[in-house]
Amino acid sequence: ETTIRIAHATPETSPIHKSLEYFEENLEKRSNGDFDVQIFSGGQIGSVNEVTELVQIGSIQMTMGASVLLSSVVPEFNVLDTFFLFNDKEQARRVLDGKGGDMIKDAMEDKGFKGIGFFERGFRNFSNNRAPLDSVESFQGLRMRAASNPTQIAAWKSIGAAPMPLNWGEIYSSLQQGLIDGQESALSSIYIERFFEVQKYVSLTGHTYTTEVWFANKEFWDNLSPNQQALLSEVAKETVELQRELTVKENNDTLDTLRKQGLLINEVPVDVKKALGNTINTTIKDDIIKRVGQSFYDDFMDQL
Amino acid sequence: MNLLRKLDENFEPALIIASVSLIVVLIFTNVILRLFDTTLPWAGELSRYLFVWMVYLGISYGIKKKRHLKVSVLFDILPRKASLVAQIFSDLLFLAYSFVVLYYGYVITAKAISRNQIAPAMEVSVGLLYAALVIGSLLSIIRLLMSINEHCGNWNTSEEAQ
Amino acid sequence: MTILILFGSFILLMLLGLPIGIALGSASILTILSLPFLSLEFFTLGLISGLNSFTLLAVILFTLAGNLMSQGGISDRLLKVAYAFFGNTKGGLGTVTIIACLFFAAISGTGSATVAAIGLAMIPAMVKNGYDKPYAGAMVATAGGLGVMIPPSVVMIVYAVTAGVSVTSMFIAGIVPGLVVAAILIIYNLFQSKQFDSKKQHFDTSWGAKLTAINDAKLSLLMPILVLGGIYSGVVTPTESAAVAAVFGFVLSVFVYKELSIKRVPKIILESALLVSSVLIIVGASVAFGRIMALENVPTIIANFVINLTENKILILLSINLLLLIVGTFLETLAAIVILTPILLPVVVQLNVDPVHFGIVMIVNLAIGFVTPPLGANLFMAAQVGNIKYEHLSRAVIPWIIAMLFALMLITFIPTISLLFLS
Ligand code: NA
Ligand code: NA
Repeated sequence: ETTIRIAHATPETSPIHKSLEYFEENLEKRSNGDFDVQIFSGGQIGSVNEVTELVQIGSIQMTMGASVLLSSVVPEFNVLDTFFLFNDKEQARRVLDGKGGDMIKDAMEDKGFKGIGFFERGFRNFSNNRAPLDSVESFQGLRMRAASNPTQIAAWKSIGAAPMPLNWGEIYSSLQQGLIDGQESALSSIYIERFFEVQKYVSLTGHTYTTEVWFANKEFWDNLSPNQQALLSEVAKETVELQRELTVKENNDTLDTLRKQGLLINEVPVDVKKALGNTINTTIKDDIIKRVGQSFYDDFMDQL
Repeated sequence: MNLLRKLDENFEPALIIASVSLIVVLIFTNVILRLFDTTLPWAGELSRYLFVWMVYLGISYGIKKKRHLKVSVLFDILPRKASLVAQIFSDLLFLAYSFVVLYYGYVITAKAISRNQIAPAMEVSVGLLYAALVIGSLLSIIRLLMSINEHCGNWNTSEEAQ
Repeated sequence: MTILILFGSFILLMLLGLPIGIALGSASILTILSLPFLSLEFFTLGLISGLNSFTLLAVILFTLAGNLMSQGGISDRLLKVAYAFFGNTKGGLGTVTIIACLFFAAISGTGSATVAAIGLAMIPAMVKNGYDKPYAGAMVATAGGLGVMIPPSVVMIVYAVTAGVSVTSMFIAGIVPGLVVAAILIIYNLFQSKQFDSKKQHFDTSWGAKLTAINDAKLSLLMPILVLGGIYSGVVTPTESAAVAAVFGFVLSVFVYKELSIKRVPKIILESALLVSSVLIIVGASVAFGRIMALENVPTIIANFVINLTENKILILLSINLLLLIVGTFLETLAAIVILTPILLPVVVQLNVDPVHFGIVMIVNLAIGFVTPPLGANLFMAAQVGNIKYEHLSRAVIPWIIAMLFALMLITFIPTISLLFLS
């Protein structure tokens, strides 16, 4: 019997956890009990970065994490930090399920990981307490939470915002007490992390697409028989599809819920998005190329 | 000899005091800078790294200063010599523990360096964080050997006293 | 089997006189050796992640601030204000200590930081006024646990996210239970402090003395205002407020009151660091310990056993409380919430227990876990701060735990205490 321990950092109500339950049930059933899948939710085994290291040493067989968190381990993920990289989720899925995704998976192999699939968090948007963000000027002086990552800080500064590095767990209190005006994250996070209780405006900037890369320890993968690998890949593919469906539904539900909670939701005009994207990408492009390498960058952009 | 004694007294303390002072300065500076809507993005990360170093240096120095929290009931109820044996035995277990942490601390440090794992804000190797375990347990080993030596010395003194 | 190795070797090594953190770490190492799928790197990585946290930085900063305050004349001045108001009332110093913990808890959010900052000033002061030292230490350790019940509380945010309830509701629901627990501790102290009253000093509590005390302490009184005000006005995070407190304490003691020579500051820093290291080594080891328990499904197995024992609502709630107390003793608070909430919440919801109310019950249980031996984070801190033997403190804390259990029963079976201000 092969045991697969999967640890992740999302609650049991999340699309990721629900689809992993599908993975567990189907893999165990269809392998006639050859596989034993155990899921540990909510960060109980550690944060994304900690569990990533546990996967690297083989104590945990699988996990998943947002590309922005994993880029300190696999720098090639930085390419996904490019603003307005994908026009829509269909394009993102096509690239990530195709050669673009394969390039990223190859880069992961050098670090001891086997990429399994690309879960979806969706596009990131802004929420804040000051005013709807609908022009380039409206970002001026916006005190926003940022990950403590120099590229991101430079990005936010270039559009005039005032980024404050804070841990994910500190966001709620900081919004409530007015330490920051706003934050940016996937729509579902605004709901799951209860930010909507302390925010007034949601602006659909859709500035970056967040994928949660699902990966395994490479040695674990290589030790599976070809039949096991084939079955696992098959069930994994269904799992990713299910997760994406659940995410789309969740994002739609979240929008409804946020409206019902009295938040003001606004679209951001296309020319504003373009202007923001140009400013930011000009600022961070060299940095991204430096991290991922020119040829990787060019090849990936060709896949768009 | 004089130099050794100075190191014995001051090695960990100097590093510990520097780390804590730097933590205070960094975090305080960021509070002030934020009043002007700016920030040192790496200050929080550096503070955490210094903090972990402070704890592991403190563990080693705590052996010298006998500051570790323990249940000392056994040492108290045993007769003097048996108590010394028990204390030496406990130091030996601590020593074994420190060797495990030294080796596996080294393993994760070496891997972090060879895999080029980077701290996102400071853009330095995560190995600098993990090395706190290596240096900390190395110093602990030295402090434990000194402590065992001291217990052995007490053995003879107590003999003479009787 | 795993449970036996994990707990058995921990208790044995601890009784052999190994430092508690090292006993905990060694137990984790032995367990990992018995589990072929885990390597010892799992342990060393846990040692790091347990400490690599911005929130924990508050512990060293508040400890440093507390030490600077008590050696630089700030605590003395604040204490004189307390004496002028409550010096001659029954159990006055104890009441002051518990109320100070309540306020401080609200800002620091971590039990050990509360125990360090308040304990450094109040344990010696209480001892000077005739209180028994372990008794004073146990009081601060217990009251220090109030931190998780008074908003803003990271523990409550994590529960709200895990259970899918409103953070704001949790914050509102926590206030009255926090006050109830504080009141019960104060009442308990009123009864107990009779035995210490004979040894007490007499204080001048005239209005003149009150005004003089306040006037002498006017700059010192800025300290709590600066820290509390800084957080509630959104200028600083709790960890940052600790740094502000340390800097303010330094400037006030060295340059304004001039009661602390700058040459002594390095020694105070070192003392603070040693104190914190000796406690936090246990925190680091407990992270690895807790993860092994989680991977081996220990909490889940015990939880499922407990909820299947009976169908009687009262008995189920009692056994859940018992489970949380045991788990709270051994598992880190946030991990306990993430693991147990999904298992227990559906059970209690079926019994018509409000999820917000249950969250408060859970958090009170885990607050008690801070002071339950053998693994009580607040006990460790109080032992170090008050220079009290751990086994003496473990004995002295038992009546305080019973007082907390009484509060827990009230909060469990009278939902209104938690839900009073929620429509
Ligand atoms: Na609190
Ligand atoms: Na405990």
